[in-house]
Amino acid sequence: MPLKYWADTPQAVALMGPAHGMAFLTFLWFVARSWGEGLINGLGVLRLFIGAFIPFGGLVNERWLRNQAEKH
Amino acid sequence: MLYALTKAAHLISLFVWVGGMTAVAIALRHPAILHMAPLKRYDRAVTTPAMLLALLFGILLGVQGGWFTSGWLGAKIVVVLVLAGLHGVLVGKLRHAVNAKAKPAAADSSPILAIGGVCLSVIVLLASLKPF
Repeated sequence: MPLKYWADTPQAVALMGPAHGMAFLTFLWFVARSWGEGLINGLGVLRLFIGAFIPFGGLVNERWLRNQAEKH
Repeated sequence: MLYALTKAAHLISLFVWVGGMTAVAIALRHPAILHMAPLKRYDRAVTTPAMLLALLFGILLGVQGGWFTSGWLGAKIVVVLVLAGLHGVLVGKLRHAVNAKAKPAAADSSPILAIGGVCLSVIVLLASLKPF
């Protein structure tokens, strides 16, 4: 987005947009799988989903996920 | 021609994806431990790649056809997200059943198959009618 609006290069968004969409879909799929497998509960799903929309929320959730993995 | 080929590839991937999902949903409803491990292997080798290809070809169709500004595609993407989420839940339950090993898991009575059928119907209706 900075390249589109600050450097007048919309091609970057055309290229990275679909890649970003695929990455997000894959992320959601893994969250759903982990829920189905019982590795995280409904609150964990909500936390990961909301964290995906907050800038740098992934960094906080990454630490939480590491703690969860150590528990299992 | 390229658009028609992409559309064919998108539909083939979708059929394989939904077929694999149906097999897992039925297997979880009538669990038999011998079926679970082969289904898990099939899902990893065929169904999940088919899902990724269906999504990839769908994005390519949207870009080629310039559909991303259309309202129906926005609605369709939301329903596709639900369908992909259902597949994720199914695979998670399947992995749980395989990892349990000792005995067949309890029969899954969740309405995933019905919800998936509704999602698929809405997806096809939105894509074919393009109502808004």
